[in-house]
Parts: sequence; structure tokens; C-alpha cells
Amino acid sequence: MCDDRKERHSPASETPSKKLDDVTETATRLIEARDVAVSFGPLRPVLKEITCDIHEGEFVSLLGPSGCGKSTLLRLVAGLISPTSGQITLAGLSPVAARRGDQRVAFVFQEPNLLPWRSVADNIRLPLELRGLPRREHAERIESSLKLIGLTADDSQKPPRSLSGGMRMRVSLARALVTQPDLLLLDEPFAALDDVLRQQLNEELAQIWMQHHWTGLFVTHNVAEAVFLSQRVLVMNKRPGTIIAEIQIPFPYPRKPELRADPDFARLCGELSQQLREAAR
Amino acid sequence: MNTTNPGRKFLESIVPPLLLFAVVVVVWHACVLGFHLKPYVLPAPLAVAKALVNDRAILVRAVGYTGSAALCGFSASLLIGTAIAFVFSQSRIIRSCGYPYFIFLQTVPIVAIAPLIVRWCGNGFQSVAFVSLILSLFPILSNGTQGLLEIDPDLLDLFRLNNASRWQILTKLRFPSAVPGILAGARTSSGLAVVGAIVGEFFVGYGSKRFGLGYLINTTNDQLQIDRLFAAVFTSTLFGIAIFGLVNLISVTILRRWYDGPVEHRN
Repeated sequence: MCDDRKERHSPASETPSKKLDDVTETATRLIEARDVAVSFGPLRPVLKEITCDIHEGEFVSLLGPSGCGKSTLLRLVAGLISPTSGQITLAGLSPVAARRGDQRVAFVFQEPNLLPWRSVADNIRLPLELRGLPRREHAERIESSLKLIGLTADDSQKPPRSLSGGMRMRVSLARALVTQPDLLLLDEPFAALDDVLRQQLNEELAQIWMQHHWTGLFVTHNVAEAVFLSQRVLVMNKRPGTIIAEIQIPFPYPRKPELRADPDFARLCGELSQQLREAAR
Repeated sequence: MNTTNPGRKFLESIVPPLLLFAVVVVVWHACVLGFHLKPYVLPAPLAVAKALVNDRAILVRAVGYTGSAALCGFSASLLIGTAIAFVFSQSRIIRSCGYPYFIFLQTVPIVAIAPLIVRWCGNGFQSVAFVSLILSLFPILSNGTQGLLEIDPDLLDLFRLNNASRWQILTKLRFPSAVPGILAGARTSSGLAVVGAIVGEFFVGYGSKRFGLGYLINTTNDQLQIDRLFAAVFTSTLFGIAIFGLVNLISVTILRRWYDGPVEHRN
């Protein structure tokens, strides 16, 4: 959890999710960040004093105003960039070493980023090819991954350009899930979609997480999305980004669409929006 | 208006240039008559048409020779240009060492080095193909290098996250991403390959009674047979357009089948 300097806010202590909190308290730490800072050149600090833990099997959202360095933090965890100072570990190792070892890290980008020259199925196959998985295992994995995100075998032979924006994002999600990740990093994957589709995909994502229990780190600037999906929300302030609050989300899983109409949900969203406004100031 | 009808689209693209051509021919004819121009200065359109008909066998044969040399030069530049682009994409040092020399290849007056090429490669087909190669290499090389290097950073991250090797990144990401660029280069190169072959033929022949369009242009000019010269130039132009059209058709088909449509360059 965040260190003592950060505000600890848990409006949910008396709710049924208490049990879930206990689980995360005792679970193994997967990601540990200690006083991490990143700057792109001396005049462009992006992140500072990031200290937080994320436990195995947890679903955590990073919520912050645009440009606060959320995505940079995600790339740091993925080992795609290195911290300028401080330390970040993934399963006790540097993220790159962990990734090359037995930690499977998958990333879902803001854009679907599908390869236009490959069919849907071949796009989903890509990580398996790159990781050198035996070909005989591909079909089964791809099929179950397609099923998970609600695409048919017919869709799988189509070129990505023939799919709608929402479908493309589903394929992108399937491509991440096909690796059976230990850690799934999601960088505002639904930001470009309309509200109804976004809510629907949120519900499906929460469902998939419940079934498979990878660790999820979800970047968003949408408060309702963060509250709906996560067990815990880390609020960041504007650049150079740092974590200013950590909020436990008390609602039990599975989370149903009706949750959005719950007064507690609305209250929590209101509080977080307030925090976000202050963060952007 | 039904713009999706391919027949209509074809008509719309072919009728306006033909109309302009007709206007030019009329003005040309009027000038020849009005200014009493001598046939060795500007032959009448009808004389050129006659020359085209009379020389048709020679012209067809010449197109065959020039076309083969241009095709060889073009194929070689496609292979060599792509291969060099691959090497360039692998290291910035190699790129900065080699790139200026290929710009030199692009800017050096080909007529100045053509005699040297003849000296090195010998008198004949190989020299003509080589000139064609030199002239058509650069667009493929530069577009290919750009295509191999300009990769969406997110896609590179995706490959890195899956621990992809350099070879996997090259074959599964860089090369397929560069295909639209290479094809755009190929379109420019195809026309240049024909020009290269014709220029090459100014300096070399293929042997007695075997000659291409370049030789024909050169000799008819020397003999002041301007109507035949026009016929040869006209044939060269048509041939160049046909080659460009063919390469364009192939590239559009490839792009439509495998990419997001007939694009010049992705992004």
C-alpha cells in the first residue's frame, strides 16, 4: 500500500468487501515501487516519489488527470522504460528480468494496435509465435481467448479493418489474454469508445478478471470506470505525477451493471472526482 | 452520381486526358500549317502517326529490348534496394555511413557515368540494365528504409513485451510495415527504370540489328527523321505509362488485400 505520507481513505471498512481487503493484505507483493522518479531530461520530470505495492491477483486502477504520467508508470512496471531514480521490482526482480523469466506481462494499449496484414486470429496468435509456443497449442488458446471476449470463429478470419472500434479493442484484449498473463497492464483501453460500449467492456473485463485472477493495473481518467473495475484506486496528481491518495473500493464481485445506480457508488465517484479536481489544480 | 461503378470511374479517369490530347494535336497541327514549319523542326501529327504505323514492327521489337533491360534493372533495384534498406534499418552507424553515397547515386548525372558503366560492364544488355538499376534504386531504398524505421512505438513495445528477437521484429513487424513504403518507391522506380534503360541505350547497343528505343531515338535524331523520332518518343512514353500502371495496379491490389486500403504510406 502507499506509504504514510499519502492519504489513506477507506470508506468501505464496514462493507462486505472487508474480506477481500484482508486477502490483499496477506497476499504476496507482485509490484513494489520505492521512491521512483522518472524524468525525460533535466527540465521534464514526469514522475516523482512513487511508492506503492500491488499484490498478486489484485485489480488496481491508476486514476489521474491527463498527462500526469500514468502511462509512464505503466511502462515502468512493464520494464519498457527504466526509472531515473528509485527502485521498482516485479516479483522481486527488475521488470525486464522478471519478464524474461517466468512472469508473463501483457499490455493493452489505448489504441487496438492490430497488425493490418494479419487476420484477427493471427493477431491473437502473435504473442504465442513470439514466445515460441508449440504450434499445436495455438488453436486451443486462440479459441478460448476469442470465446472469452465474445468473438465468433467467423470473426477470427476477418481482417481487423472490417471490425468496429469496439470489436478491435476486444481483439486487442484477446491478444493480451492469450498469453495467460500473470500481470495485465491496461493503458486507457476503452477511452476512445462510447459510454455504453465502455460500460459493457468494463463488465466483461471484471468478469474475466474474476475467472482468471491475473493481477490488473488499469490506467484511466474516468472515475466511474476506475470505481467499477477495481479493488483499489490510486489517485495521481498532475505532472510531475505522484500518488496523492489511495482508495479502497468496497463493492463485492461480481460487479453487476446495477452497481452504477447504487448511492454508495455515486458517493465514491463524487469523492474521487473531487480528489481528481484537486489533483489537476 | 454513382462513383462506385468501376466502369464509370475508369471513363472519368481516361476521358479528360484524352480530350486534352485531342486539343494538343489540333493546336499542334494548326501551328505546323500556320507557321509553315519544316518537318525536321516539327513534323505534323499525321506524319508522326504514319511513322508509328510504318515503324510498328521496329518499335515493338525495340520495346521488347528496352522493356527487358528495364525489367531487369527494376527487379534488381527492388531486390537490392530492399536488401540495403534492411541493412540500413539495423544500425544508425551503417545508415549514416552509407546513405550519402546513395544520394550521390541519385544526383550524379547518369550521362556522365554511363560511358564508365559501359567500360566496366561491357557493351550490351548488362550495361543498359545496370544504368536502369542505378536510376531506379534510390526511391525503393529511401522509401524502404523509411518504412522499416517508422514503426508505431506501441507496436515495438508489444513485440518487446513478448520478448521478441531482433529477427522476429524484422520479419514480423518491420518488413510487413515497410511494404507500403517499398511499393510507393517501386511505383516511382518503375518509370525511372524505363528512363534508365533508354538512356543506357544511347551509349550501348545490343548488337547488329538489335536495338531498343534509346538507340532508335538517338539515330533518328542524327538522321533528322523527326517524325520517326516523335514516334519513338511517343512509344517510350506509352510504354513508361503502361509499366507505371501495371506496378500501380499490383501495389494497389497488395495494399487492398493486406493493408488498410490503397495507401501511399501508413500513418
